[in-house]
Amino acid sequence: MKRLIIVIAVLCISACSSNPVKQNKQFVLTPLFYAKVLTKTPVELTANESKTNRILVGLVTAGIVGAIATANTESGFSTPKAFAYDLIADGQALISHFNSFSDIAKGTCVKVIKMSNAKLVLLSPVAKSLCVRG
Amino acid sequence: MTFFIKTILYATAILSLVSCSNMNNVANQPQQSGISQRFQAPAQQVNLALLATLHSINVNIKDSRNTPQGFRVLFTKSVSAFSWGEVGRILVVKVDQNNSQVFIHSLKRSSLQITGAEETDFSSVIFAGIAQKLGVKNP
Repeated sequence: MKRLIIVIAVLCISACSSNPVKQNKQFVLTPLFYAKVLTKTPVELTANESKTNRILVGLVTAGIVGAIATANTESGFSTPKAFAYDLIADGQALISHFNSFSDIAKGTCVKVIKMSNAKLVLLSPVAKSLCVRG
Repeated sequence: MTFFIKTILYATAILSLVSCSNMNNVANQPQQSGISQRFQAPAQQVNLALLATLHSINVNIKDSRNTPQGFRVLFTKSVSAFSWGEVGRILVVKVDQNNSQVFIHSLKRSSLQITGAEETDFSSVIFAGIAQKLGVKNP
């Protein structure tokens, strides 16, 4: 009974503090180059928060009840979906395997943007003329 | 009798927690769900500003793609000592060539939780981030 009261108390108390949504001030965007999208394939990434992490936190916080509760996540929770792009710059140099959450069609000319503290890049569609060096 | 009450209480606790919200609860909601803001910028620019913003805040992007409604991003906020986590969906809808509308809809994973990040918390930070990256004033 004592354990049950503790579990309920933890459940209530855990809702009495906050972990606010906040912006990382060190975040910097750096444009790299222009290139054309040659191929685009769906790719699964490593999760920042996996199901195992959640279950462990649930177990530590609220015992078996917490573990069961945190195990209840949607399919694919541990594998975020993005796109892997092969790009071609200056009409000849192939630059492979850029992962991005940007959804860009094949053949589009893009600006590749690097983000600080991120392995992924951003792709921004630009005028076709920027991909052809005169 | 104590055993019976204990069992009922445990079962209730488990049932209420396993019925938590997940990504599917937000992914298939109507387009107008949540809080929206209009930006005076083409959808492509807003998509880029949105992704940059999401990478710069403490949420996890789970999926992003162009849909018939617009550019859709699904995200989560991790479990912490203070929250069982949150799930959310963002839609960038093209209004016309120069205007876009962004809809943010989120749910707490546990409906029992009193605090944790609300839809307004996500929208204020994300809308401010988009506005900052677009170089416009956040109304």
